[in-house]
Amino acid sequence: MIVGIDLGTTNSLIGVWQDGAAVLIPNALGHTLTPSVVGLGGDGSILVGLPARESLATHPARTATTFKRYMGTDRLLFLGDKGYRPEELSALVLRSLKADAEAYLGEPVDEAIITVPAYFNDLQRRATKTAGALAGLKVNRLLTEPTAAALAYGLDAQTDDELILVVDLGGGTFDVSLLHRFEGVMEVRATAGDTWLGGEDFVDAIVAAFRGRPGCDTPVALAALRRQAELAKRTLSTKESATLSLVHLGEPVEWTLGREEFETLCEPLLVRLRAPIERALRDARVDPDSLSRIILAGGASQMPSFRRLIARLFRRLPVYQINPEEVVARGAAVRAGMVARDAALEEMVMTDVAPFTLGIETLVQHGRRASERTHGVFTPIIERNTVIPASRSKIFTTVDQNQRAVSMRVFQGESRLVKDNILLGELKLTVPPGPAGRETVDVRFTYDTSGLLEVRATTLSTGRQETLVIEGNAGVMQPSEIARRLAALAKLKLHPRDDVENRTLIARAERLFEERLGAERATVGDALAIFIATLDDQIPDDIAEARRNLSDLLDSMDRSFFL
Amino acid sequence: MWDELGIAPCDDPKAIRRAYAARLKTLDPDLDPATFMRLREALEWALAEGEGGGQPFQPQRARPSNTDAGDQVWRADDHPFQQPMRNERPQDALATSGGPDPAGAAANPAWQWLDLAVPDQALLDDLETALVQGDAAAAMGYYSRAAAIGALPLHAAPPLLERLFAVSLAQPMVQRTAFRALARTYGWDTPPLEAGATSEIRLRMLARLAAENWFDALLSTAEANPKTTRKQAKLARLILGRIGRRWMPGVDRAALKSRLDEFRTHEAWLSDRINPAWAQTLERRWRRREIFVLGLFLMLLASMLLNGARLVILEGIAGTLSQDTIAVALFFAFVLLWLLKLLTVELRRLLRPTARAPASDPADDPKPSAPGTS
Repeated sequence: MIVGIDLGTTNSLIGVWQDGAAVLIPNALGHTLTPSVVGLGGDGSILVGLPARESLATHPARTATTFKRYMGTDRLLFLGDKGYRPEELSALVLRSLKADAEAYLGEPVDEAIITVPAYFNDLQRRATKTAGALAGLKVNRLLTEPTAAALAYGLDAQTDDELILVVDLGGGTFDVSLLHRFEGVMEVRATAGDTWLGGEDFVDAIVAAFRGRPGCDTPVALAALRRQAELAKRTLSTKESATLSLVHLGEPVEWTLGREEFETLCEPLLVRLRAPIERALRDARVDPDSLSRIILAGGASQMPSFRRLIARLFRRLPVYQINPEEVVARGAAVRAGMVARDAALEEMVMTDVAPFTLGIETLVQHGRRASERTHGVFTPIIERNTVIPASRSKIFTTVDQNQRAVSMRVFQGESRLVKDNILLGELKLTVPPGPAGRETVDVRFTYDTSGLLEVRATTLSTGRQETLVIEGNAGVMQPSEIARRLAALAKLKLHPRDDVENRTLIARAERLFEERLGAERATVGDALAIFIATLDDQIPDDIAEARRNLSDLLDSMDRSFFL
Repeated sequence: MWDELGIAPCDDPKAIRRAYAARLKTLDPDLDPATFMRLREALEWALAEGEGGGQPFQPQRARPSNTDAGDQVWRADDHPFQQPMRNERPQDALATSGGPDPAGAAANPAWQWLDLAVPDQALLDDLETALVQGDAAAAMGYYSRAAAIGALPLHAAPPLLERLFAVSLAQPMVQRTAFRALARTYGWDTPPLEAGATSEIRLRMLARLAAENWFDALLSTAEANPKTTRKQAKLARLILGRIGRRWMPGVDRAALKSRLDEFRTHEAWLSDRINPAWAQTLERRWRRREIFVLGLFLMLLASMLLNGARLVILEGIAGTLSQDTIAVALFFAFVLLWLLKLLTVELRRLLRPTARAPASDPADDPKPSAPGTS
């Protein structure tokens, strides 16, 4: 069975193509959104999703969140005293989603399509694939998030031949994709984006504004402030002002944040939204007026300031009938159906583009003297927004007398000098010695649909070939390493699925206990004690009733609960 | 190429795309990438052919969107909100875009966010005034506000940005953080990939950012490592425009010279930012070390010369003095005198009180060896 997964910065979803429609699969709690948070339970089991997010405020040291931002890096995130790579934490989330899907479908799930931000670079994409492998899923391919959103909307299209602009402001990344749909072909024309701009940054802006105030000095207090900031951000989407309520030195503190004030805080972030949009339009040479639809995707696109900006920028109203938080997962499910060659989707084909320019480092000789050279010049071979799979080649010559080898460093990026671009790998090719400029080398780049880059260099005079498949790098795990980590991860037990609901309630009650004071705190404490005692008795009917009671109590007390 | 698409040559992009789509559906790009690539190439070639090479993808109204200055002058009356919105009422938009419930949309509170009452024109006028007056800080503020609420039409940004950057460049280090952030957002902090996309302002931006980086690096090295005086003193001298005949080893002389010229023309603030006392201390320290080395060398030569003189005198007494010996002795004597002179010059420079301001404006620097004037 093949599924579509939206592995997000804040929330993840899993969907499947079933009976001619995309269906989102609920998790153990019955929600389709599973927060991308991993926590360590008291008994050493791994908590994923809502229970982990609820314990974020009470046990910040034992919980990890927003790890998608560190994909493709060596950074370790700590759960308790053990460090995990971002891939491993993502794998735990994927494993939990997979378990949900298996429970829902009643059959094993072994293949998946995972969405990534369009502007993820090669290392980040590879890390996402590794995460899939670590979760025991064969990643059939990676789908970019804006494309997924367009696919979800593409099903109910009224006109053929339309240009669609997808603006995807997710939890951690901002993506813009321009798509052209004609004759059942969904063609990506251009993508652009910013991998460090998303809903989390808007929360950070609020946190930064309140950080200096008294009562925000400990990690626990900061975690609580962050939670309140997140809540305020959501409240401000519908209301004119929001309150942040915290506890400082045993006294409740309340701060208000008006919408105007919030928008001023966001200004530097909103300014950054503009450049990627302009670039995508420019790259595809499309006039804004000729766009048929502007689609909003991503949870953070629900912010009024963002919607207003987009509407005013294009002089028209963007479209968001499909819940922006779910649209990417729905699109991934559609894609899964396409890959599985489902009959309802037989008539659809899609093509994607390479998001970054790929090229090699070269040396430019201005004059005849050996010193008249510029080193480290980036020469593009596959330009950005080239439709993939693509294969392009360029011919280079030697620069030195009796040069015996040509060393090619492969880079990804948009800058003229390689020092501003990302190094992907290096390839050495021997050439027969001779005068400078006599030997020519043909360098061919082949970029396939799953984002794998193959570099082949050929010495034209001898026909000697060297091939490099880019996969090894500092931020990417080697196959042996993957096998080792897989074994280590297999030992970690996810919290039993049927107990997730109870665990979530306990975590939520614990959080409320820390947040509240006086009588409220005592009520929560008592209710929690009764609930845990009932759990220990292990009588199913009693547990169900106790769960209902506690859940009602918490709902009545907790204004700041969001999914 | 037309065979690849399976149609007769034509210039209708729709027909070309239709043929492409039909072919595409019969193959799987994953399994047979080579065929797909040939097909794709044929499509792009055919589209470009049909359009006569220009604007291959977009048959609609062509509006240039390049970043080059001068090509396009942004005018305030270009503004979109002086023209009617495409969809006059939100509920119309929902109806035309296939909303789930067009009938109930009128009462839909989800549309209340669209606040068109923000004073765009006033904001843009303020921005224009600030740009004309050259007030970089105010212009930056207005620009960021206008961009954040979407008051700037999409194509207005590049020319406006250039003006904004030009105004900022006229002032030293204004709003440094905001300036850099904006430059980074638009990729103006790295050299452009396309050779054509370079304007004079953009090059100057790069020079400014490079100057700032260089300056920061210089300051941080100086603070972190007070012992590397020689290099710092040289850098300080370079920036102050007093470049001696000696160059740092390993530095591309021509490149450094041209960069310094550039800095000197546009980035006069660099020398203003150098603390004169600091530069002077550095220079003194460096000179002291030079005098020490020079002195050592001088003593060595003097001892050799004394030894030579002794030999000459001895030979004179013995009556075997040849002309060659005299020539060698005279040569050594000259060298000694020359070195002595050098030492005095250096010593005098070191011991002279701060009569000449070390941070004099490089443009006024009369020394002919300075690259700005050479």
